[in-house]
Amino acid sequence: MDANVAFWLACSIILFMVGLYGLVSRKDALRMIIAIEILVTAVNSAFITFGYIANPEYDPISQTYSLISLAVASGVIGLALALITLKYKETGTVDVSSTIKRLRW
Amino acid sequence: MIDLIIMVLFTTAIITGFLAVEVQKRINSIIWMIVSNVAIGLLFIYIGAQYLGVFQLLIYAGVLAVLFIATANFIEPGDIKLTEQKHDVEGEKVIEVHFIRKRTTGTILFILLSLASIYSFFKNIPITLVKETGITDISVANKRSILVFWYGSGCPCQPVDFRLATLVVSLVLFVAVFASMYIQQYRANREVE
Repeated sequence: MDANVAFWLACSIILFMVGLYGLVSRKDALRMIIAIEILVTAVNSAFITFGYIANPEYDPISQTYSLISLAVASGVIGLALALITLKYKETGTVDVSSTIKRLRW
Repeated sequence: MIDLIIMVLFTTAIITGFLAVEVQKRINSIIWMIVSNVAIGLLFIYIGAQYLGVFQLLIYAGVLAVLFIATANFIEPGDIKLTEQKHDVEGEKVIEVHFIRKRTTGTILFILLSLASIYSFFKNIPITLVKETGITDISVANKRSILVFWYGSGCPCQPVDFRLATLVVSLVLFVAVFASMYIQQYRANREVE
């Protein structure tokens, strides 16, 4: 395997770990969404790296899937931002741990 | 041998991504997120995924960053107040704007990155134009080559850099982010008054 490709994959995994760490360690909803965005970015860069392995010149399939993933993730993040705005209006905070019981049935 | 530019961009993305989830203030967190996404977008453009890189810059570093700043403003306006109150000699309240100084690290890095990219862009254009297209005189006969050089061919079989599109997108993002922060500053000033 090319050294560049190995480095890209390693960096994608580290970026994924950073996102995972942010997702599990933060209680602020806004930072959790930022962590989700970092996760999606890491997965997209891994996609592009695999596409580079398949075809070093130009690989349209991996780029197309990454583009779809990017669009879907941006929609999800927009919805999540709307949800936390609503949550702030209802509860006065965006801390997910303090009001998690209210989300139960 | 690992390419130096790829190493720098990926390391920047990882470090700023970590800072984005780790720093205290929300607005600093969002600024680090923008820097991380810009690094990833430039990386995509560099390794040959131009469309994806431009979309990454447009959507993640642009639209979602502005959405994040707007949401941070909605949920806690005091957190992103960009002004500082000081009392003058007569004891009256004077509101001073310390926009740049308050956001020192992220803002200066952002401005330096933008200025460096714009400078290198304009500095290298004549040499790159001659090297890639072989054109030495800019005339009507060479119009198509010059247009392809600036705008890209639009055909996946001939990957090009989309230089003008990337420059315009980055400038628009720069203006958008700072305009949205300035609007928040204005709102915070009004709330203080």
